[in-house]
Amino acid sequence: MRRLTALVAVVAALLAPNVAAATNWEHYGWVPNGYDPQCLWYPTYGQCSGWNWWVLNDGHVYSGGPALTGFENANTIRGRWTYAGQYAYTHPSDFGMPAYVRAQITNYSGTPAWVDSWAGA
Amino acid sequence: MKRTSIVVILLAAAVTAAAQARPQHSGLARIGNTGQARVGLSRTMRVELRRAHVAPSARVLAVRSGRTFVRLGGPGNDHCYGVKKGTASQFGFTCWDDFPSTGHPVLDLSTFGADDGGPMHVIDAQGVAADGVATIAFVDAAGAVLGRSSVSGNVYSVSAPPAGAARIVALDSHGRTVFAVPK
Repeated sequence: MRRLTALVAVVAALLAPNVAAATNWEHYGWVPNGYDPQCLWYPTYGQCSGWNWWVLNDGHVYSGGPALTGFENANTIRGRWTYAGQYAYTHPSDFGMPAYVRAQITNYSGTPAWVDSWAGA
Repeated sequence: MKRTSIVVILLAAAVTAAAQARPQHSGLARIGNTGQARVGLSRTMRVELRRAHVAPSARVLAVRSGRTFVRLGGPGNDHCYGVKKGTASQFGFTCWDDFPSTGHPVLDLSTFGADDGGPMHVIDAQGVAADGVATIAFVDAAGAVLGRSSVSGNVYSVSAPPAGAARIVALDSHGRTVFAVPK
């Protein structure tokens, strides 16, 4: 019984860091949406996450736009233009970017967009 | 007899008006390439598709310049298209119920971006287009056409677009603009 308890504790300890590491970021609302200091490239037009090993940025434009769904770092911004009604599932690897980036959704089209951008790490 | 003539004239006018109201472009709401062989999907990709409520199934539309273009999903929910480079495990993909349609005859999967403070431009051009889209053109910020590429099998793919291209414009077989990315 003691051995079983120890085994359960070891398994729990191994699983715990993964659970704790799972994180996400979401912007649900307008873009542009005022100044976002998290955005390195277009702070007045975009909404951005903090730094992380992001795997996915799922950008959905409900109306308006289009908006650019993707990622950025200090030197580079990349994304796909996403139109009203579209869901764009983007990964840093789609753009040849390293995984440690900021997720971003940017709209300088002149037509405000109502969006939901969700990034997972 | 006079009443019959009036009815005939009215019917003829209605038919003429209906013909004129028809969209000038044809084939913008149709895709002839329905995909060929099914392609295997990685576990991560299947998880991602399920999260997006898309059946984890993919059919190859084309392989161009080392890129695989697929149509994703199953019956009743197959308005998702993806692309991946080489041996990458995941497809970047986009779902759009309103594609293809006369309003949205192109589902663009191109990469747009900028580097070191430079202007936003086309990094690579790729996407899926309706039957009625014949060509894509690369246009700079001032509107000048820098180059063109034909659409084949409903797919376009240009790995090295002209430098300075800011927009991708879709044209029909008569050279008329039917869509642009970004607008």
